Amino acid sequence: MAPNPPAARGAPAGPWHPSISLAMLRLIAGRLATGIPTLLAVSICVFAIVRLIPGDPARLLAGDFATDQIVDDLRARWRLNDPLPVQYAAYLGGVLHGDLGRSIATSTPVLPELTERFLRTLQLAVAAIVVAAAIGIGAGLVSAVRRATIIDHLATALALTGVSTPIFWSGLILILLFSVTLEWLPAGGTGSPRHLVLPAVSLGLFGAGVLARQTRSGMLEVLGQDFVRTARAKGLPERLVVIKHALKNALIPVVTVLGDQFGRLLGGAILTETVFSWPGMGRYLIDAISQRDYPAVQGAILVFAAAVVLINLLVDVSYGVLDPRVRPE
Amino acid sequence: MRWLVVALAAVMVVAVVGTAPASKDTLVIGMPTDVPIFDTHKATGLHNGSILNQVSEPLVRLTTEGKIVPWLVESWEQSKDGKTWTLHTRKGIKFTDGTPFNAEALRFNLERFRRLSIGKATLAMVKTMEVAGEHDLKITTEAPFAPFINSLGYHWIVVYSPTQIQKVGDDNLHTAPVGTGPFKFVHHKRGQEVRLEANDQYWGGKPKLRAIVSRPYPDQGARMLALESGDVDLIFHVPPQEAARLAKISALAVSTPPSARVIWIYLNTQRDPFKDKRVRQAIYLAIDREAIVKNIFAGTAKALHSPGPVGSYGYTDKYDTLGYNPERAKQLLKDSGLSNVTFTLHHSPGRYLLSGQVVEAIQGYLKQVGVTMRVTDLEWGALSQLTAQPVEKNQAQAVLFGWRSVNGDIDSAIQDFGSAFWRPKGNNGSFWKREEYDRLLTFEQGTLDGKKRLEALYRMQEILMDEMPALWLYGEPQIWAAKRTLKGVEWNPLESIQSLHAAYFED
Repeated sequence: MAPNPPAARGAPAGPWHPSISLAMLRLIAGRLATGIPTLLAVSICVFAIVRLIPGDPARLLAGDFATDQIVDDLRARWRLNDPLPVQYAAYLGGVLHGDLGRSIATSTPVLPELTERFLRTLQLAVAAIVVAAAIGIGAGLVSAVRRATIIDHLATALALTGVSTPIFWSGLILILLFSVTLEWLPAGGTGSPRHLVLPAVSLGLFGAGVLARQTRSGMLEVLGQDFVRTARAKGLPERLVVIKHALKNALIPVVTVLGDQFGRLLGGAILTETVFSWPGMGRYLIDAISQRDYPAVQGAILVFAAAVVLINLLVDVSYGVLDPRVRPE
Repeated sequence: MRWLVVALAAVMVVAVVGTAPASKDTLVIGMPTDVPIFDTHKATGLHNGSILNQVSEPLVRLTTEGKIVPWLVESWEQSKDGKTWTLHTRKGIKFTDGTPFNAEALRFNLERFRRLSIGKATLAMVKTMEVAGEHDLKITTEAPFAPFINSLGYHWIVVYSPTQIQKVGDDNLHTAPVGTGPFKFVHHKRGQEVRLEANDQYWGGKPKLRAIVSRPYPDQGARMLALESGDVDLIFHVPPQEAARLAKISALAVSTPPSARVIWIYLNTQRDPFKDKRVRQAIYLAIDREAIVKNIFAGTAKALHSPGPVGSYGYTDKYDTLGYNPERAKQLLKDSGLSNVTFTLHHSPGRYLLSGQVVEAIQGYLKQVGVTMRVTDLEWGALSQLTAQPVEKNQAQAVLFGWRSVNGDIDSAIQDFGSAFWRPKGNNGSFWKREEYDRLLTFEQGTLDGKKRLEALYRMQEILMDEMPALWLYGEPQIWAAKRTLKGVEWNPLESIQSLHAAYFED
């Protein structure tokens, strides 16, 4: 990647790395500050929605044997009979003290388990985004450079297949091929880096399609511009023209899509985690919803929301890194 | 492109470089869910007993033939007035922390079960418990209760070391449970795996397997592929059609031990059109249950000819005088004077095996006799809330529901048709009441006369088969698949493995 130009215009010179100006810091602080009301709103919405869905956690936990007495005891134990504002205040008070409450289903604290699950999902999502970027950007690049050839058509068809294949299907096909037939990789679970390969590829393929299409159209636009012709006229090797000049300029919209995809991958992880028995947040959330485990659902959604807020911030910051013109003044 | 090739090659290398083949003395089980909490007194989900009860053992065992056999409780006596039971605990048993198992440990655990378990109603009839000797526990009940010993077979009634519970506290037992079983707890990584190791001091002798690992595979397709790929050795909840395919693979074997789960459709007898007994009977007559079992369950389920699970104590099929007879169904509907009978069935997709296909088949059968059944699919939590409403608010006309006998005695499956069990107090969603039935129920639970009790159980089934407060459909199968070399697994009818003590891999 080309070195960044000197400090952005108008920004005071300081001991910072040229690309992290005070204005940039102000932007980051501002975005973080607006994230707080967003998260507060999310917490209120989730709190209300989980209670609006029909179904009573006490009755579900009590199971088929439930007598009224057992259900009432459970409701009292989990303070489900308190007025909603009281329940919300207690919940919010806990959150501000770093306590997401105890799971109704397992009576264990939500936060430690959620942290472990979140790290698992993050691991999966990061691996998937690497796969998605490698395949998506690679395929988009190749099909733009070899425009209207058989390679381009093949890459476009593959991209379309990636976008439109449901994960629960592609996941099972990957297991069938690589675990059952070829016996190369485990069919699911965790324990070694090998366990990560299939879920990451399955989830990554889903994101690769969108990235490929975005890269291809971005590249086609850039490749037709004057500076590319100049670079070629200078006699630069085609590889340098494409990678160093064209690709870098085509990347901005791709990064937007990448950030957007990351949020989608966190969502897509719900299916991937089920198919590959990956103990991440997605499965935690599904189990929590079907149990009406209010504290667990609230905690999981809040963490998801915080992750999306953070990723959006990272995307905004990376624009500045990629293109000095969009740096905050 | 070169970096892409290199990256792909690297992935392949990582992929191919060895996994150690699973040792033949470690059994890996693929379950539909993770054990929610490793404490049997707080457990939910019958199949989780397969793992939990390798560490903690029951007082008596329920066999797949529906019989009760002594286990940690070796023998028992009932007093003349029928209200006191003396349980004698097996001698010479120790928990794996060295604490002796005796009457006091038993009392301590029964109290804990009665305090914490979702199934605590199973022992609701108990009034007092008194240690009468090192190995004798006297239990008195409010009134004589004939199926008492059977109730002790309910598989959440197990014992843990009282020393350990006092040491770590009620809330933390799941982090280090200590039982008397053939295996000891090693760890439970939530959502990932449970690991147990052999208890070589087990009172029944050294187990053959050295370790057991249980992993959750919530997706049924992935679970089957995990077995086929060799990642796991044994899986539960195989769909019937897939069972036939897996059975054809030479390295695998499929087992379908009897199951105590029965599938019924509750008919709300307080609402139209089911106030009229003839309509209820007509619907029963219109459904070909044998065809459902054969075509949807590939013969693995069992059509019910009584409410109870086939094989439970007291079960009889001799009162199923109606059977499948669409012509008679049409006649009964005509006699009832109702035209265009229409009703709504509430159903929770995915809760019971293949229930969606069953519901469609029933819709088809009813259409043939001119009855329209609409289906409302609800997620289980929503359905539970809807059906728990008391009679005056309960809008459900018909609900597909799974029930079972938890103790091998048909009493536990049909007692809820007593009028004291109307929802929401019990599970009688039919809101049906017959004085004779209530009388018989009280009698059979209290009598000391085994013969008269059996007669009462028969008469109760006769009444239910005539009155049809619910449609008795079929007994759901429990289907397991394993590597063919795995031998010696012992099942129970509550959809779980009873014991892996004798399990081993054949060479």
